[in-house]
Amino acid sequence: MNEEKKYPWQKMYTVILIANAVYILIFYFITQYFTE
Amino acid sequence: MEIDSKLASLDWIILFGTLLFIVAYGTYKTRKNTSEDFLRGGNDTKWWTIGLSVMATQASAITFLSTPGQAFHSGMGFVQFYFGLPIAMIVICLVFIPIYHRLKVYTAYEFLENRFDLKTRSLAAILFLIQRGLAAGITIFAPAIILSAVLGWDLLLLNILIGVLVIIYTVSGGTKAVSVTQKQQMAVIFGGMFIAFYLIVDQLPQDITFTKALEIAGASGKMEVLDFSFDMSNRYTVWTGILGGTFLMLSYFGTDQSQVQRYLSGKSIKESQMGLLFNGLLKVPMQFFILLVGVMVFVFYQFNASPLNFNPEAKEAISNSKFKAEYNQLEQEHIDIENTKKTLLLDGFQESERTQIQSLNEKDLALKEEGKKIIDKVNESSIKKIESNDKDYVFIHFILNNLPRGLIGLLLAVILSAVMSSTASELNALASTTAMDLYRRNTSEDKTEKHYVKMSKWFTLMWGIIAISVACVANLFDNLIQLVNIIGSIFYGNVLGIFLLAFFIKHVKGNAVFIAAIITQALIISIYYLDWLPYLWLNLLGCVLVIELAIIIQFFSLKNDRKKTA
Repeated sequence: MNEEKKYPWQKMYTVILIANAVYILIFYFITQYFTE
Repeated sequence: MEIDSKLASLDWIILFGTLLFIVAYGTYKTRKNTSEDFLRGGNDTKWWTIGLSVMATQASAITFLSTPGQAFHSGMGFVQFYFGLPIAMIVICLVFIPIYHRLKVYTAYEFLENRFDLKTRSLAAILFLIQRGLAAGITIFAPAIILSAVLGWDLLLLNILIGVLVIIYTVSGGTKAVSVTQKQQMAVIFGGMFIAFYLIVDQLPQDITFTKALEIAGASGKMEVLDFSFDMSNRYTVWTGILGGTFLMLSYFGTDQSQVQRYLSGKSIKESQMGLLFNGLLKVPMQFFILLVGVMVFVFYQFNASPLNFNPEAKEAISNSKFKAEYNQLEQEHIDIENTKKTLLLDGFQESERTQIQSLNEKDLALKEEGKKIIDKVNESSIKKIESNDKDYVFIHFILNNLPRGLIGLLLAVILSAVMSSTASELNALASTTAMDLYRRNTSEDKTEKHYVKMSKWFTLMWGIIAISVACVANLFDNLIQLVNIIGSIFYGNVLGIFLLAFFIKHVKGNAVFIAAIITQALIISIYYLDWLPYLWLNLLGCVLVIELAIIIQFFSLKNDRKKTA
């Protein structure tokens, strides 16, 4: 196999991770709000 | 089960109009297909088409039938199952896509020959064909049996109809037709689900606003989205979602040709990556939304009568059995509880009523469990087995009994579009793998691309017929759906392990991987037969075993080689 070309980390990956972290945070507040 | 009273002419027109339009559009748009279009989608697919196609492939009809029912019974916790998906998408974008694109592969398994050898490629391809070939049949059968139960449609005819519609455009247009039609199918699916959601909220009593509806759901324990406990008996927790989910999604999106083929059709690496990231961004909110639809159906049934068990076949079987009186008694108690709850909740939810609502819900749940036990007892003395778990029947029951004419047809089109989109991807992937990994690689003469396209069409037809046949005989087996999941768990881990070795452990060579994969497969099958582990864990075990064994075998073969050289 040829030497592999490196593919760097992209800003979009960070955006996706942050967005999903925000979803989980929202779910956390929903859970807290509706649980006694 | 009276079909005529359930569907009006308008429903039939919308249902068949939508489905036939999609089939005709897919066939027409790809009539001038080149070989490249047929096999790899022309390598000109834009990122949003890839994103929608990837989502449509994963979202089968069961997603739209079963997920709202899951929320109806157990609340929103199922969304945690998808927490690992965005992480898997990023790993695939970073590692898998650049390599697949650089090698210009037609299938994921082609990469294995490049990295290891032909026998490893063929082994992985065969494992995929066995597992996905059976799964394609179940993709058709699982929703067909539900629709036939609630609508009285002939199961055999429905299986054949769905299969034939998919075969028409998949044989004619290949990969290109699959992605072209999936855009339309996703538009129908999203449109239908949004309208359904609006209508459910709209049909709540006038004083019950959306916020009040959420409070009622919350008081009944349906809004507990996150579970941070480490309880192994809880299937859906944040931890199983992030750890198990990442692993599962990595094997599904990274090594299953039905998904790999979707993003390999990308115009460039960037487009393929963006397509998967699109999925990583939208999948969790999409699942949350589908679950929310189920929660709103739950709130709707706090003010409207619901059956004790949503499977209409159960009620029919019990009314012809000696358990009729016992079941009627449970139904009466269920109606009493419903009436009490309705009176309590009509002015919205008050904090002081929480304990009372919880107690009523517990009593109702106990009645439903009693009802399931009666159904199981009826099953013992009957040839035809009735599904006592009614979660798959909740949403379709709501659709058929509460949506206006026309919209019932649209929602049925949503469900059948979802069956068709997943089945089309599966048939397309099965045909490409058979054509490129087995047929092309094992025929001695070099043939033209046209010849391989022709063969791919024949293989698509062949797999379509196999899928329809599996769907038609599925009813004869007690637990075929579970059997397919078991077969998946037996093979998936091994295949993912082979790919992880290929990507990350450079010093391991083909012979070591092949021997390790054969030993692993034999061990996993034995462990399953000896019943040492719940079958879902076989995924993880298969993956770890193949990696460790390959490293050990490689170590000893290197040692041997050195001895020989010395």
